[in-house]
Amino acid sequence: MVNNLPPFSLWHLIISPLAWALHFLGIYIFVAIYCAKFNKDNSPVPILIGMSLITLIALLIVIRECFAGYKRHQAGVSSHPFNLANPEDRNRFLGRARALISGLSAIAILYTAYAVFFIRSCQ
Amino acid sequence: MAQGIKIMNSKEKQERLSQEKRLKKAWLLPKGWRYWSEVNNSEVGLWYTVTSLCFFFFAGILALLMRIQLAFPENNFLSADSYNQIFTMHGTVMMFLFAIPIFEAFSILLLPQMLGARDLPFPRLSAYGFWCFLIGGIFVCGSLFFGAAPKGGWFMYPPLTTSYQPGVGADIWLLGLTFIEVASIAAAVELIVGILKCRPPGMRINLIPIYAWYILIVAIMILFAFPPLIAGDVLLEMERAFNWPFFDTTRGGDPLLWQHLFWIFGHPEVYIIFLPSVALLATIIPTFSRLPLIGYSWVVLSAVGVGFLSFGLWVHHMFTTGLPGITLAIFSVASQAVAIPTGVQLFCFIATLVAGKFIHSVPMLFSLGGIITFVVGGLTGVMVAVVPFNFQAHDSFFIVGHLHYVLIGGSLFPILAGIYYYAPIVMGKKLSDIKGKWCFWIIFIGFNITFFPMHISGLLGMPRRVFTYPKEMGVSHLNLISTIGAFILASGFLILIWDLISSKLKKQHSERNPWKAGTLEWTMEIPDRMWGVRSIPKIKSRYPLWDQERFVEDVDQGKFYLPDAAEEMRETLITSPIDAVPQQCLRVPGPTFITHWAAFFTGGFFIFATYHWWTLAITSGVFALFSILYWLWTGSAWIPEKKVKDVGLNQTLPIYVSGPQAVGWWAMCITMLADFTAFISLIFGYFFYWTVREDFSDMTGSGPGIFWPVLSAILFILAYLGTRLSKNLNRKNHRKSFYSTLVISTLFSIFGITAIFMGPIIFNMDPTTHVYPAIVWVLVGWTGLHGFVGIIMQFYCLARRWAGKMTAEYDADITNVTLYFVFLALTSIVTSAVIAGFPELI
Repeated sequence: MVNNLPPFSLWHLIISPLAWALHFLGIYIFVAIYCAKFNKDNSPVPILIGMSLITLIALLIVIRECFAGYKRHQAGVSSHPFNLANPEDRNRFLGRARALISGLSAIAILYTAYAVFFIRSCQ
Repeated sequence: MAQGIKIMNSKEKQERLSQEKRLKKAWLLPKGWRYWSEVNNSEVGLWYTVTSLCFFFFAGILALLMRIQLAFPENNFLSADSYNQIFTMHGTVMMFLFAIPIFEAFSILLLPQMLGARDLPFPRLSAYGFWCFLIGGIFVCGSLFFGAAPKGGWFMYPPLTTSYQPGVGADIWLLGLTFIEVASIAAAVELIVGILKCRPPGMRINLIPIYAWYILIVAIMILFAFPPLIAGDVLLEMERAFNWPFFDTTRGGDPLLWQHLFWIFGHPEVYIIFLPSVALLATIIPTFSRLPLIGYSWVVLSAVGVGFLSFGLWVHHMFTTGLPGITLAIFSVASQAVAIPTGVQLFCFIATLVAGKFIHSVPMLFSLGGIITFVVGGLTGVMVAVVPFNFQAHDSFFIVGHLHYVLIGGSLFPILAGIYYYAPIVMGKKLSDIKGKWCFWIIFIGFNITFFPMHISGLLGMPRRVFTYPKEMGVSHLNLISTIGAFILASGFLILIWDLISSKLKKQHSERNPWKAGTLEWTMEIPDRMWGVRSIPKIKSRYPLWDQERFVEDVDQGKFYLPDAAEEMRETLITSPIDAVPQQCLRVPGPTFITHWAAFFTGGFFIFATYHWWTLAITSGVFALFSILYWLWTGSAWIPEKKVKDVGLNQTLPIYVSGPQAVGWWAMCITMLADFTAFISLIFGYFFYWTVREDFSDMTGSGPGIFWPVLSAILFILAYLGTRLSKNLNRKNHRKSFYSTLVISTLFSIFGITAIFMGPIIFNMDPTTHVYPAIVWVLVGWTGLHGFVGIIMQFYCLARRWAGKMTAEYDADITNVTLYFVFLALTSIVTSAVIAGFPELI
């Protein structure tokens, strides 16, 4: 079962936090430029639309990563704490770490979106 | 008789002794004054540690001077000017010359041991970094004795530092620190490659010591955190030296850009300081709980989480600058969110403590004291993350209290724990338990007496960075208590110094692995034998000394990899990043003085530039360049006498590797990531001005046009393609085609540099008139400078091939240079797109 999984790269571990970082930057830059250059009537609608879109994309990436990590974690029968020197333990550890970091990234993304949702103004 | 120890026959014993003789010869320490030419990690790490601690005590004495001045209202022990220099230097020295270097020092010293490696992959780079650090540190600290120290706070905000501090102090800070920052990036490169590529076989990624995970994350953070500061330093120095108005609002600049660039560095910086200390806790606590760390994967994910989240907090240092509410909100939220992964790590440590045995010891005392202190600081941190509270507490002594609780609790106490824990390995002697306990309690009590009252004096209205305060403010007694506490704290450190000296002088060595720890560094023999690990082991567990039977005996008997130095050269194993499959037997260079010369001339370049002695600065820079070229020529990419070598356990490995598996290629890639980040920070500046300044867009029609920037980008792309082609031709051993293609590529580089400068020249863009021409010139200058470095690299490859030091098979030089040109081409594309295309073409 382990052999059917695609080979693991360390890059997989950072996709979720990268999604958070790009989400954070995306919102920051979008709000900064919108408020400085395009905000004529102080309407919250463009901010809400922009924020929702960016948040949706980021969450989809993170959810995908979480499932991929969980699937890798489920493969094999080696048991916690995955501290043996074999490919199965390594896979389960990496899958678990990937799933957990996705969870944290999702929380951080939602926190940010939540704050923007509440304020949704350029003032 | 201990079970399982095989009795060796005399032939095996003879062989083992010959192996040790050859290993000793390869790793021999030079004698007399030549000792200082050593580059191996044990010596460089030791010097780094001692130097960092010296700077720590220096900054500590400055703190005592500050506390004397603040002990009484309207005191005149120090003048305002002196006080400003002293508090600036206290912060600067602590942050740049102690907190960062000490973690680098510990890592350089201990990481190879933890990873069963003989050394880090680039010993001369570590040595160069150390000598740069020493020269830079002495230069910056020395300024205080001439009354010329920087005095704008450790963060040096303009316009104070551009318009109101014309003296040389700010330049000393900017230039003196820049090359220390470069040394830090060098250390980061070393550590990343070391952790991912220099592990013992079998140490898969799920088995690496938790300390290594933390240092890997921190080293990557350095790559992305330090460059924005370097970019900011460039802008600030250009304004101070040449009057380019980056932070001058009358000419389109904005002082807030400095704050952004500084704090994009500054906030990750404190996590770069904090995480390696937490790594020490994660190492020490399992040992004294006699239990593997509970929640290894949770701790790893938390460290990765903190590493990322810490880059999203920086504006919490700028809450009071008038930014819009939405900005404040998202940064406030991120600042609170970072407490989650931080807390997860602490809970894992507590779980390990509770589930295991609790072995009393001095390292454990310092660890627990650190956790308690850090948690208090963390709680006040969450308080100041809340924007309305921050508006009240910002720039008051409340923040001084907060930052010292987190830094001393989160960083210093674990470092002291680490000193007591690792003294047997580093000094060969255990430190005293009795002195250690006295040291801890005096420091702990003194610390709380010093810093707790600051929360109250801050809330009562006492601002930071003031040389005195009026009696009527009602904070006199709190300040006096803090001062008394500071002297108690200092006396605790005197006990530490006494302990270090008296332990060093005592005759009896520590027993091996005195703490009965389970991790690899404790295989080290005490006293240390110069070669580090006797043979590079095969790993099957996170705690091999606890789990693997006869592990230490087998290492000692040379039953693993590289038990010998058959050619009497310094060697270590290179393995793959995830599964630690052996890939190469790497030969690392030995003692040299070239690193000293390179550091000396690099220092000369920055130091002369501080005083605007341009001829001397440029001359020194040229000598630095020649030193580095000489060092590369003689000390890197050696063509070996044979292709492969038997490294033991029936494994033969190549000695020379080029391309994406090679450590040199990794070093180039990682360095260029840092360099590219600095470039992107400058691009960020361009867009920042466009966003916040109306007049920026009005100016963008005044140059540099479209033709010249686009031509430049095309030429640099051609230079890259030509270099890549010449690499392929070299591989196929088409000598003449290699030479001609590379020469043509060099010409493309030269024309590319010319073209990028033509735009601003033809349009007569004067960088002193407005920030728009200034930022264009900076981007153009950056691209041109990198093009110039690319040309030197191309010439170097031509020379290497000519001299027979690079061949069709052994082609690391051209491979790494091709990688450089990828980044150069990207830089020129981005520069051209931005200065030619934005915002006109949108």
